[in-house]
Amino acid sequence: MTLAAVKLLTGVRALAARPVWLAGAAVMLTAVCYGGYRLTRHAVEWLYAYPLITTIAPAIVKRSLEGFFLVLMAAALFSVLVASVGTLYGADDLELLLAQPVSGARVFALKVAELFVNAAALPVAFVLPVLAGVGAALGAPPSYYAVAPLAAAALFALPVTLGALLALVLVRFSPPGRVKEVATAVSIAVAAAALLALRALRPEQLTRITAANEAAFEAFLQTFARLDLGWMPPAWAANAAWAALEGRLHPGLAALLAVAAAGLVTVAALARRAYRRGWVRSLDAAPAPKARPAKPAPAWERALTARLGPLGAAVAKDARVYLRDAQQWSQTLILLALGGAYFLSLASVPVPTREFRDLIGALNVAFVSFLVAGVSLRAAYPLVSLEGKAVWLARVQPLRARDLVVGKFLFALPPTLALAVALGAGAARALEVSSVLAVCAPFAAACSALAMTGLAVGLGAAHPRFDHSHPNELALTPGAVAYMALAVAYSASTAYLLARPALRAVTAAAAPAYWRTVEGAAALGGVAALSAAAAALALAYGVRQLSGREGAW
Amino acid sequence: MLEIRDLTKTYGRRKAVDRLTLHARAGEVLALLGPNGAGKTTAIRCVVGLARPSGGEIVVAGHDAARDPLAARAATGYVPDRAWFYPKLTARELLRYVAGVRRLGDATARIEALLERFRLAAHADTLTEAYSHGMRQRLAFCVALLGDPQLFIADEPMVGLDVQGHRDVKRLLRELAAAGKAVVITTHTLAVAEEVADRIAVVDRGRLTAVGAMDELRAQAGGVTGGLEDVYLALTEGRAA
Repeated sequence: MTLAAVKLLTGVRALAARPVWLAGAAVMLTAVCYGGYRLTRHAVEWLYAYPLITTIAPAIVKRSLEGFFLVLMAAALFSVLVASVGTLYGADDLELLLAQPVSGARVFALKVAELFVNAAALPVAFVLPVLAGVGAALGAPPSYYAVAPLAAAALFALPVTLGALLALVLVRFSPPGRVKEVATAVSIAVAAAALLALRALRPEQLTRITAANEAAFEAFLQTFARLDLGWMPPAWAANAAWAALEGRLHPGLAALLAVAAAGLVTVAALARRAYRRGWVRSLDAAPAPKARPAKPAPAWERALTARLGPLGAAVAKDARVYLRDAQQWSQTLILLALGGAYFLSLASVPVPTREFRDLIGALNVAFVSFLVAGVSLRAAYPLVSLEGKAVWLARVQPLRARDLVVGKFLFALPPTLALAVALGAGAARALEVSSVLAVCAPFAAACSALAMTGLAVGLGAAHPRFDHSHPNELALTPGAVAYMALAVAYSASTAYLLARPALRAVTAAAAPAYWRTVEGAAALGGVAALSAAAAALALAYGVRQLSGREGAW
Repeated sequence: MLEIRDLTKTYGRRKAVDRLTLHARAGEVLALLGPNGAGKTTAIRCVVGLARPSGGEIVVAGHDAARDPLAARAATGYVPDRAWFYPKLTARELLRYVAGVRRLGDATARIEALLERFRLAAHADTLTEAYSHGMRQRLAFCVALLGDPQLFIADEPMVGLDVQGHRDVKRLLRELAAAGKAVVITTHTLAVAEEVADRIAVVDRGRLTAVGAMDELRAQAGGVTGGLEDVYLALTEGRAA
């Protein structure tokens, strides 16, 4: 059996072992792909039917493809950096494979292929329905359906090459034992910067070009069509696909395939060389031990343990581990970037009248809830799973599952609460909403933080995955999907409960005394009760499920 | 100190432990021997709370492990065969965490003494992610002993230790017994069992085959003469230890 066949068999067995996850993922992927196909086909047909711009429609479709390729290339680069450290230099099976009577070149060729599949499979899956939609809309010949995907796949070899080369630099020069942390931090920092940069471009300006202003719309499209990305690889792929639409082969395809193949071969050769020369020792080397005089526990840790007992000790431990682990704290950077992008977005919305400000303010209450749901998915849901292989230690101590779960909740709640209230109150203040909404927004945000943190920690405790390899994968588990479904249901329920007060604020400018009326108090009380119940029930469910787990919890 | 009565643990149709009855007295070292898959580790995992028994009863220091698990765990110190810790904590921080969950108050002096005894003082402020297997194993001993447990259980305690570590652990087990603790170990190293154990229990296919001091084991093996190896092979019908 060849190395590739062994790898393939391992992957198939891993998927078969999680049939529910596999079925759910397949359904979701199919739905997304079909949606992408229909949307693309409809958009291209609409564009070609638009009377004023038939002559530039092909250029617009082509530029759109180039842009799409560029965005997905950036996404692949983001994920490949961390993946290449683990796959090319730190994989568990690497030493085993190299000890076999197989040439090192074949082993690293397999590893590069594995990296390529890991990094490029999802982007290619997103590209295929778009290419199919374009092909179906424009009546492409059969050869198009072979050439266009080939060009797209070759395109994604480039970020794989770049990411692997960057990883090599990190492996060579990072402090001992810190490579994965540095790679994660670099990836997250790049993603956060890209998010803020994209936001700073103020894409909402495009929405001001309306169909009613057709001259401006056409001028915009003309400008867009003239954008020249010809020197960039995404344009090579788009050109190759476009030529295939007309039944031709574009020289860009050959260039793309040659660069992709050269990049992958170079990366495999360099990885092999790096491994041979011992550059990768920084992956597992440990700093030299230093004997230091014993210091007492810091005051905050002593206070937590003294006040809360075992619960406090668990919270103190979680805080320490979270702040030390780059894979955990770096998630905070991207969340802060999200918050920053949200504020920038609100600041750029034109607010000509009080009614409009209040309308945006009311919508902000719902948006904050969704944002907090996303934050909790990344920051709170994984907390129980992050006990990892050390979970046995908690299990054999006189520590109740309830203390462990509630400890995670207490640890996650303050930052989530601070973020939610800052977003709710800050946005209300920035928009200068009416006093009714000024009370409602931070209150609803605080309730949402309580509910989302409880839901996330509870569901995370009910469906832990202690054998995960990276915290990112926890957000894709069935438990995480269930959490998101419940979070959306909670947000919808809150929006329903606050709809009437929001309507009053928008239409009648109700006074702050409104919240002292039966109707106002009932709305706020309902939201508070719903939030407390959601958090308490989810936490109780998590404790029960975790207590009933066999083995390492 | 430890009473195991009719302990049964099944995984699907497979019985890993089958009506095992055993006890460990205060002041003695009890060694569990048996072939791979005999059910030794499963029985121990049931005692320390890592597995839920399918039947039977476990009593630790007078506390029923099913009805009062926290008290049973508070009375137990456990060293697993492969110890994993929070990689981003140092040994000192980890021991402070354990002291906190065990409500030991200010355990600084005891923590420092344990770190010193297990030759980890120089590495006490190093993150445990940088520890070798042997260092992790020694830290597991510190964790298990921190609460001064009445029952000390170690699953393959010698694995990963150097020569010095072997000698330290053997001495420790005898010291604990001398201090009135009940000590239960599993091991495949017959010489260790012979050297430190007061009684030896042989477990095979989830059942207790024989238990007692060496003379009692010889008698139960049908009067086999010779060392523990001969007795063991006779009791387990030649299956590898």
